[in-house]
Amino acid sequence: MAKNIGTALNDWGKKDADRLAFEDSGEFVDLHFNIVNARDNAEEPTRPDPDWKGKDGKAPMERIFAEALKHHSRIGFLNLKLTEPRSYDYLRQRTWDDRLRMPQFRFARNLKRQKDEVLEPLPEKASESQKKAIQAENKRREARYQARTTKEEAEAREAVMTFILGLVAEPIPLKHMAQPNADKLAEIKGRQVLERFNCGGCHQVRPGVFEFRPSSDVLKDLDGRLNDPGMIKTILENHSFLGHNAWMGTPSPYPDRMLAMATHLTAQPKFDPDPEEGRPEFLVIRLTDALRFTNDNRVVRDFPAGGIIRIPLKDLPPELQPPPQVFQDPAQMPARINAWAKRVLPQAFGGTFRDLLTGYTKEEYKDVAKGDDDARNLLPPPLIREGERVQPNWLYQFLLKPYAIRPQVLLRMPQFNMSSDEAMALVNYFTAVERLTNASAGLAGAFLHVDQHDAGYWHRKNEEYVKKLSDAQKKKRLDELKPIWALVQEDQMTALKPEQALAEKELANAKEEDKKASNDATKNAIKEAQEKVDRLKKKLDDLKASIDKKDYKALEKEWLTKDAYAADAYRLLLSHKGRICLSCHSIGEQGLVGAKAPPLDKVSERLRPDWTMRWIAFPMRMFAYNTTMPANFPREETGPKEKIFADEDTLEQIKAVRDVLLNYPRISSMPVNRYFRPAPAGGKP
Amino acid sequence: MKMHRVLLLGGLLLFAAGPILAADWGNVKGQVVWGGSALPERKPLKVDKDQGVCLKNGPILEQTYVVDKDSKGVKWVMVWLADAKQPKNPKAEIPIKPELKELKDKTVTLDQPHCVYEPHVFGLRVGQTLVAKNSSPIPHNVKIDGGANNPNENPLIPAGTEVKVVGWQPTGAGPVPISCSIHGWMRAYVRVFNHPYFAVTNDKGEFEIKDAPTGDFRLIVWQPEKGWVAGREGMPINIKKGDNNVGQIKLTP
Repeated sequence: MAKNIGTALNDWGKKDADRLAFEDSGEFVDLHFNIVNARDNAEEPTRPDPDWKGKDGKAPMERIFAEALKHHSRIGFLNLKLTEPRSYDYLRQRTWDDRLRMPQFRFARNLKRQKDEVLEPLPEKASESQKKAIQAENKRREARYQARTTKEEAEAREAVMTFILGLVAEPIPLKHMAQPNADKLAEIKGRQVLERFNCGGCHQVRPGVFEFRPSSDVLKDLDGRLNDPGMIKTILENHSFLGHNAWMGTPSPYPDRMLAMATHLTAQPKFDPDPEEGRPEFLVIRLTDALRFTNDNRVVRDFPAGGIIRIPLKDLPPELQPPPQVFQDPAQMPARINAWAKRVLPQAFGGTFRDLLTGYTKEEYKDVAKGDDDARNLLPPPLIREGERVQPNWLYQFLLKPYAIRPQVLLRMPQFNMSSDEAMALVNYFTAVERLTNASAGLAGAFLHVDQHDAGYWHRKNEEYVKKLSDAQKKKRLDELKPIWALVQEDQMTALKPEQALAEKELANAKEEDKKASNDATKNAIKEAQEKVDRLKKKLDDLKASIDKKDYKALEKEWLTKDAYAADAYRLLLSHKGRICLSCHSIGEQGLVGAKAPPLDKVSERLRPDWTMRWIAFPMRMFAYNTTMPANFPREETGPKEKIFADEDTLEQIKAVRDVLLNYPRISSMPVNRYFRPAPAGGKP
Repeated sequence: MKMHRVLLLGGLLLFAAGPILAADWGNVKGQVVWGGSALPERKPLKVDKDQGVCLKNGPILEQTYVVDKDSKGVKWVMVWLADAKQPKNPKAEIPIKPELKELKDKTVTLDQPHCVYEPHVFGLRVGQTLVAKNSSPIPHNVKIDGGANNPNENPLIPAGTEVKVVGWQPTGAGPVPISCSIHGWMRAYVRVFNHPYFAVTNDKGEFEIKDAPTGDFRLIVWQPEKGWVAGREGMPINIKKGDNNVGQIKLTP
């Protein structure tokens, strides 16, 4: 910001007059102004006082201000400063850059707007007496104009003075100050960064807020939809996370209005019937948060997120009602209502460019983008629930140095070269928004502790899991693991051999040194090296004996005490329902040619555990459009039961998969998992 | 006189509230034929996943236009009857033959044995259940985008299992698309009706709507790629008792 060249005005109203340089201003006033007692006509204050006029080329000035100046009052100073800003240089020798530079402002308009102020032109053929009469009249008119315009200027000046003299820089009472809490402040700051980098150009950042009247029609429609057999089936068959705003809405704070957090179904607001089919009656939107309502029987119900609802146009607020001219010409109606809807109806914050690209993508990439949702899969993702979805540390790094996540996306996130503060502001924004709008999700702030990264967590889970396994189940698993144990032992053997060779070399060296100059130190070195060689030999012999006898007791013990949960969870992730996860995702070495979805081995650093669990449980509830990710673990298990986690609720299966994903690098490299390859589903993989 | 008025009014009310009846019933037959210059070639689709199962019966061909070389008949075209006055209103009722009112088949099956939906285009009646079956040895999912009136689901169908989808309502201008997220080329279209008078053309482009009410209706013809074949409001048809052959309907791409 440029430096101010003028005096600060915020406390000018209480500026000590001793600090004002009056210089020769008194003399200046005497020489340049005609001091008059009153400015306004006593009988008609809108008109100037008869004495209010210039004299000998001097402009009029109110006596009160002239005397205030001479008495060195700040009022007098200010009046002269505004009237003749540079008068304080009067009789002063100044260098050019030291002179006062404030311009002489005009505060009032000085147009001749009254008829009796406009001068009459002098007719060429007029007689001398006529000319004199006209000139005398013009003089009077000019005097009248000058009196009025100087009075108005003095009045305007006084108004400006009143304002400046009122600037006393008193602190604003605390109750009138904005004091946002930490989350609100983070939201405000983050929004500034979002706008600076135009993140909302490509990404849908927040859902739109749709307001409507809870009319009987609305409530009946919502209630009816929830009672629809299909909806009941979907709700019953899938997991619910009560308290979370995708399953439970918040009651409307207004008795006469409902607020739905939602997005339009397609890039263009969608109506029912479609405008091409007839006059639209309903606006169709897709909820991003659950919508709570009270039905006609006074029962409180929640329409879950991901649900598509219809709002009768008549129940939209008056300012959102389509104007009658939209419907006047049936031929023009579809175009007109679409144009009106795009302009007037609430939109989500951000995503305009993505919306514009949706149509193009459907056209250009027909093979993969047959519908709106398919096209959206190829475009920048919505950031609704981003704070709930990603780990803050990852997001921070990603913002500073983005990389490809979803293989199919056509537009890649550019590197914006944002500062670390800006990246942090965005991270805090997304977290804060979730904490403000979805308190029950229990989102941790900027520093996230991921339980799954903690060895204690796995130990605890293992204990719980092994307790649940019957002896038969344990035996079955241990039998299945035997081929893997054999490979693990081979591995151990291979790892020990170079170590043994090294130890033997150390022993030989120690003996050599002892030969050269034998002393206590060299003898000790030989002893230590020999012990190491013996230890390794015993280990190798034991290992060899175990391999020969196919004895896996040590590994089995490790499995029971440490690895069972991680091993079964890993197997569940890779082989669930015929390798369903690997149908779209690549995961580490279990690569997939033509993967459509993000690599799963990056989940551990990218996603938050709770979101991952809810997402796997019911993806449609957690996303801003109908995602292509299926509900792979419905509450009612479809098909044959899983062989592992067989007795578990599918939510426990989801948690197990989530746990593996959140610590994939470690879990996948565990000896018990390293050699596991899921059987290919169906034909050749 | 007063009594007569009451009886007349009662009679009118009874008539208004009662079912719409037709005197007789007839069959509507026809054939949708290719109206373009050259027959469209069905190119093999790029199958980059589960080839062992998906390509077991040879390459999967695109289904944009499936035209029989000999008869020039176009397969997978949906044809249905609509009310003569409100052809665009999917909820407009038309008379239904009493024997057909009750649903004969409570379910309609959609299978995917070799990574192609069978059938590609089909109709449902309100009250019917869609059984999305997976008789293949690999997992599939069915992503159903039903919009405001129909199911929006995306369940997984493990190999050899099925999923039931209920809650279908009459579709308006657009069908309900069904797709598989795993195998991106798979797509089917379903339309839902509150009557049984719809049909999908066979390999030769032929269709037959049986036991349709006699009288004036509109015959609407739709194909997924082309859209409306004979306009949004279809063609007028006066159905008479017995067989009514509408002849060939040309589909020009």
